[in-house]
Amino acid sequence: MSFQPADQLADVFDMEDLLARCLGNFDFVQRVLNKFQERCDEDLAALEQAMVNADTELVARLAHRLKGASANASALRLREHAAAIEDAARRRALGAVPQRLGELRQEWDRFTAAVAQFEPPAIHAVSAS
Amino acid sequence: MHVLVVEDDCVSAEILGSWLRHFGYEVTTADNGRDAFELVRTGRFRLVVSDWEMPGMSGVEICRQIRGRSWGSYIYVILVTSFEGVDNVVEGLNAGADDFLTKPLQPEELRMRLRAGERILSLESRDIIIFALAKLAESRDPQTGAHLERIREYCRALAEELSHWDKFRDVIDGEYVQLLYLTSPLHDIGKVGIPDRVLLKPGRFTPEEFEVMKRHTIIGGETLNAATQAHQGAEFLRMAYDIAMTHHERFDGSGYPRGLRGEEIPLCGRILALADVYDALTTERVYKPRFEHELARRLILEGRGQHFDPDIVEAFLRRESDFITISQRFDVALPAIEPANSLAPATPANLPGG
Ligand SMILES: [Fe+2]
Repeated sequence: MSFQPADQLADVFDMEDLLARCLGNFDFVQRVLNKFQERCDEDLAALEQAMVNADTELVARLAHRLKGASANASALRLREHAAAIEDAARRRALGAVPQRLGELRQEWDRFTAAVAQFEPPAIHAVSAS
Repeated sequence: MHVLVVEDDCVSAEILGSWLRHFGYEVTTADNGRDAFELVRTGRFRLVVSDWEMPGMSGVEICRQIRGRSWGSYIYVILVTSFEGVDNVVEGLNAGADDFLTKPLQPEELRMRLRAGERILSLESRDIIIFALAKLAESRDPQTGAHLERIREYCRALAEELSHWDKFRDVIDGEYVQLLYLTSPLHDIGKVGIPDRVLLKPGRFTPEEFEVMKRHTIIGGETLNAATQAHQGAEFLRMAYDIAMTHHERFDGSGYPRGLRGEEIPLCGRILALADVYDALTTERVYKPRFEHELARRLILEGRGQHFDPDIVEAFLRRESDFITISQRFDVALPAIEPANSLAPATPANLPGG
């Protein structure tokens, strides 16, 4: 089935939601995911560095931005992790952050892997017609 | 229309921008408040969609800055927040935001909010242009002072009163009152087509001159009718047409231009007839001095059922105090007028507009 890739993505990000918000346009989905990946690659590295430096302000700000971007890319679990980190940083309780950050990184790797697979038959099927 | 999107998150900016282009807007994006404000200062944007939380200048701060100075036209600001809560809405409202959206954004919702914004912006332009048009027409006949400002207030008072009556409840709603307020200043717009020698004549009209003067109803009506036909969505001019065409008709059929009688005369025309005469009576004109309210009231009562619809006269009596207040509020001193060569006895018969 040509929809299998989307099914595989389902527990990483909500493809249906994203597609709906991209007005049913797969090119648009691709563009958003690319933007998202560029931004998150940078932000995630910066976030890890900010943790190393114990820069609470910066952690909160980066996590906030990641949270917003994830929500927009329908990457709901990424969003949850980012929100938890932001919340901890705002409360100046960085203790639990490293573990969360690890989970965030893992989730991110799953996400990028899923998106890479998503070079999708579904898209070719649509754009080739 | 050109929308300014202010969003520090490039994913959101990408999505927002694509939606807006898809909806047919032109889009410019800024990723921080300072750049955004510089863009606003170019005057190219009347719709701004801004993220609330941004490093540097926040969305609320942008809003404050925009409201802090005056612009060529109103700028409609929608703030996008990632948190819900009354406190934030109150802070946003205080800063002058017009509307709010909560993340994650949904395209249909955004589209609806922008439409609402556009509607408000276009109504603002429309109302200003209509009044300016009416003022322009009136400027050839400067003796009437704040005539248009008073007329629309009188009309509103009458319509509001009638809207509470069972008889008119189904005809006059809030929108009717608004439309009447908006379009009543256009009643004499046809006077632009009347030559100066007639329009500005200080004394009594000859029968020929009166015929010329009467034409202002038809000239105005035809102009507005042409505009209504040429522009769908200009239905509000339908009422303006009725007003221009029928504000000199009389309840007993002795008016002009068509001699309509009773309910053949659109309600708005009947309302305007009384408002127009009351204003002519209570202000100084080249052909008459200013009458006190009591005298004006008596003359209007005498015209009940002949010149005026008895229902409108009744509404006038119930809103008498409003009329007095309105006539005083706009009672600006007029420039001294050279005494007219002859003052005809002023009765509703030669009031107003000849
Ligand atoms: Fe008139």
